[in-house]
Formats: sequence, C-alpha cells, structure tokens
Amino acid sequence: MLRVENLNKTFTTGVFKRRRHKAVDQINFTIAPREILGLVGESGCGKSTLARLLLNLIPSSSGKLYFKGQELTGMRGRELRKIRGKMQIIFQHPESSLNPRLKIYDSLIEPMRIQNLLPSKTVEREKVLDLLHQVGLAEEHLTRYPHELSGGQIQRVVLARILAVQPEFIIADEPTSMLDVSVQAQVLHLLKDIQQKHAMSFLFISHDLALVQWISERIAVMYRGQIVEIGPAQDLCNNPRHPYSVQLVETFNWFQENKREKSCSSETTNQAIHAWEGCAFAPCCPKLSPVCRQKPELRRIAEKHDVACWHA
Amino acid sequence: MSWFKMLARNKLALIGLIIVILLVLSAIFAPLLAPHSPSEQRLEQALLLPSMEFPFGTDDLGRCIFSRIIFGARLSLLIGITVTAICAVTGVFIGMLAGFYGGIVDEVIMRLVDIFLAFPGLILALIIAGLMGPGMFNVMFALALVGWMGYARVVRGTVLAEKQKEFVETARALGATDLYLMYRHLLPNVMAPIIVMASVGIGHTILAAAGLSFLGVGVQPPTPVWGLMLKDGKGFLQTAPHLTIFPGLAIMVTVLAFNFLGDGLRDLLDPRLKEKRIE
Repeated sequence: MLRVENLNKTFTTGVFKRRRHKAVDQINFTIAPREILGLVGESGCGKSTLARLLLNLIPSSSGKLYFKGQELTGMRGRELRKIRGKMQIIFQHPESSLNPRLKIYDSLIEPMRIQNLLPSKTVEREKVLDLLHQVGLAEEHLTRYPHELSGGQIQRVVLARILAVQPEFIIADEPTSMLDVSVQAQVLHLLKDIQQKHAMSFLFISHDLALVQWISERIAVMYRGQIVEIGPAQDLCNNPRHPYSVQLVETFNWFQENKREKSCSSETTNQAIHAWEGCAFAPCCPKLSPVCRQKPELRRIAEKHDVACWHA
Repeated sequence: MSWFKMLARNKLALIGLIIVILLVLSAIFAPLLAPHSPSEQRLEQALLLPSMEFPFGTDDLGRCIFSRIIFGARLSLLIGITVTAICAVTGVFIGMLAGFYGGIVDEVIMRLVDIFLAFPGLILALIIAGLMGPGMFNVMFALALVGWMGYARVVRGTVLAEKQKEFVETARALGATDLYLMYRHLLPNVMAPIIVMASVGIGHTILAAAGLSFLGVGVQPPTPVWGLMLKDGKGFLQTAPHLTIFPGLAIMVTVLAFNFLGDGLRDLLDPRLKEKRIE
C-alpha cells in the first residue's frame, strides 16, 4: 500500500548562521493493505514530521514515497489533489481540527466538496447522516459549532469527515492523547472497527507503547529521526532488541512496577548527542562500544523483525 | 445575545455607533437638513456669530457654517470610507499572499511594506498629491498609497498563525487548492481584526484628508470640506474663532466616533473575550 525509501527531511533555520536539523533520517518501511503499523517514539523524535511527509504536506529533502505503486514525491497539482483523497490524517488536537466558524454539517460536506464527490442536494443530507451514524453521533450535532462539542465528539466528526472521501490509508497522529482515558478507549475501538470494516491501512502514531501494542500488528520504534527497530507488535514488546526499545519497554514496566534506572539524562548530554556521529542512540546507550561510531543500518534478526543496532 | 446588544453594552462603542449613523444620515440627507445653501454668499452677513438663523455663524463670505459642515460630511465620509476600503482590500490581498506562501514571496512583500512604512505617511501623501495636482481623486490615491501597509502586516501575522492550525492542514490533505484554503479557511479568520482596524482607519483617513485640504493640496474651494474650512478660517482665528472651532469639532467628533466604534468592535470580536460571554 505504502512504501517509503530512504526518506529524509532536514530543516534549516537561521538567516546568517544556518543551522540544520535532521528531523527524519533515512527512513525505510512499508505498510501492507489492511495493516495497522504503530509508530512509537519520544516527543520531538520526528513522528509528526514523518506523518506530514507521508502525505506530502511538506516536501521531503530526499527519498522516495510510493502509494499503491505510484510515486508521490514530486507529484503536484491536480494529480496530487486527486490522490490525496485516498490518504487521510487525524491530528492530535481536537480543538483546532475543525474550522471554528463552520457548523458540523458544513465541516462534514467539505471533504466531498473538495474531492468533487458531492451528491445531489437531496441525498447530501442522507449521506451526512450516514457518516454521523458510522461514528456514533446523532443528527442534533449537525447544527452545532465545534466549541460546543467535547474532544471525543470532535475526533468522531474528524473521522466522519475522513470517511466521506473513502480513503484507503489513514494516519492517526496521536488521535487520543488529548482525550480522557474513558473516551480514549471508545475512540480507539471506533478506529479499529472502522479500519476493519473498510479494510483500510493505518499508521498509528503515539508515544504510548501500551496503546500502540493493543491496536497495531507491527510496531516501528523511532529515535531521533530514525527507525531503530521494527517488528511484530507482541514480539517487539516482549523481546525488544534495540537498547532504546528495551528502555522504552522498561519505562512502561516502570510505570507498573514503579522502579526504573535511567541511563541517560537528556539535559546533560545534549551537546554530546549533537556532536556524536554514528548511531544516534549511542551517547545514551548502555551497550556503547567503539563500533557505535558507525551508523548501523536496519537488519533482519528474526522473522519480520528488523533492528538498527550493532549489538542486537 | 445579539450582535448589536453586545456592542450596546459598551457605552462608548454605542455612542460611537450612534454618531456614525447620524453622520451617515446627515451626509445622505444633507440638502434636506441644511438650512441654507452651502455655497450661497451673503457678503453683508459675513462673520456673524452663531444665531437662530445661522446655528454655527457665518464665514468671511457670509456662508452658513452649519450648512457647510453638513455638506462637508458627505465628502469626508466618502473619502474616509472609500480610501479605507481600498487600503483594507489591498492589505488583505497582499498580506494574505505573504503569509500564505511565506519564504521569498513573504520576504519581498514585507520588505516592500517596510520601505513604505519608512516614509512619514502624511508627508508622502502630501508629495504625491502635490505632484499629481490637487483634486479629490488624487488625494484619495495618495492616501490609499500610504495606508495599506498596516492591514498587510496584520493579515500576514494572522494568516501565519492560522495556517498552522490543523483544520487548514486537514483541508490541504483532502486536496483543497491554495485558493480554496485562503478563501474559505483563512479569510474569515482575518476579517475580525480587519474590521476593527478599518473602523479606526476611517477616522484616521478623514483626519489625514482634512490635513491635506488644510495644506492646500486636497479638495479645492468652493467645495465644502472640513479641512478646507479650517484653512479658510485660520486668518480669522482671533477675530472670529467660530470659523475654525466648528469644523474642528466636526472632525474631532467624527474621528472619535469611529475610534470608539473600532474599540468596541475589538472587544466584541476578540476571541479571548468570547469565552467569557458564553459563560
């Protein structure tokens, strides 16, 4: 469904003194039809940048991106607008996901209008109601404004908007992180139901490993712009091979068991991290050795399980 | 609560609104309201003090000042509203382009804005109007040329903030064109600050137009304009001050009214205050 080859994104800031920041660094992966791939990583590791790159919302610095065999990188104009209907994104913040000046009804027909899928006036309302029911909302919500809905309801509206254009691939960028725990579960179940019903592919982005483990079949672990490990969800969580994944899994266990040894303080070693070349995780890694001066590539260590570490 | 009721809660804004409405009405119905013709000269009745027949007195040519002020409102409002509208539309267009496309487009446009801002506005307008010769259209052109930058800046800033919002990105991910995004999602969100700016801007433009008239590059006599009346009256400042006091008051009241209205609209349209109103 989606294939990513050596995708890079470098941001440059500053007018006189140019600083470069590699937000996404040589990323390779594929997503199969009907598959849910989870993407975990700490804040600022490039998850959201990757999401925007995949949808061509921001241009990539280099690398290639294929959607259903078609190359997306460099596609523009009408062709791009047409294919965009097939890939959609759910963002993190419910409060800014909908235009505050549009009523829910208008927000719901907008995707169809943009994609020229708008049916005749008579069935338009039926179509909107059908979308609403699919996401568990009622007709009374149609005349409301976004600020009159709760976060969970807004995420449902967002999902209904997306369903209106019948996409085949959806990126969910931390869709539930701003919601109450009780509402989170409802929205996640809804996502999974819809994914199965419409046979869609999903990229589910989160920093919550437990959540990703529950929803996805495969998990990719991202650290400082790179995918350091990718493998089947259960396998990766029970038997993480990359030292960073190990820490990530341990951290979640720590929340349950309340003990933790921290091997790297981000504040003190920030400079060391930026000066370091080679494996991005090395300055914080307990298994640090001279070979880590060289950048490790993803390599297969078990069935469907790839790790970018010299020691794995 | 209705839009008007909310505005009415702010006393100053309400006063501003009422004065603006009265001004517009008197401009429209000037021939009916004015007791005399604004240009009829009665040399034997020159420089009269205010009386029942001439509420604001007469000028050095015996013309009724009250009538001239009422007729003067026509041109003042016409210039104020037209010029401000041109400035606002130009500013919105240019600011939208700069904010939306960013990068080199933004850089070029904003440096252009900086260059225009570096000139003292009224003096630049004076030079332009002076070069092009006096007359109403030249004055309007000059004022429009020096008045659009503020709008462009505000719009650019708002667009920069708004285009980061996720609903804009979502619409783009749905395949919306740039034009659609600008028109449907960004324009409505920049309208609030622009309406506020424009209502204050009308007052400023009227003041600037009066200034240009006073300096002699504006509308030419015998057209009744407030700035020109000030200029004509300045020779009689000590002997007959009502020649300048009343046109001056007219300008002051008008500018104040638009400022009050603008401030009221600012409070009304500020999204941070909106929350409070809902509670």
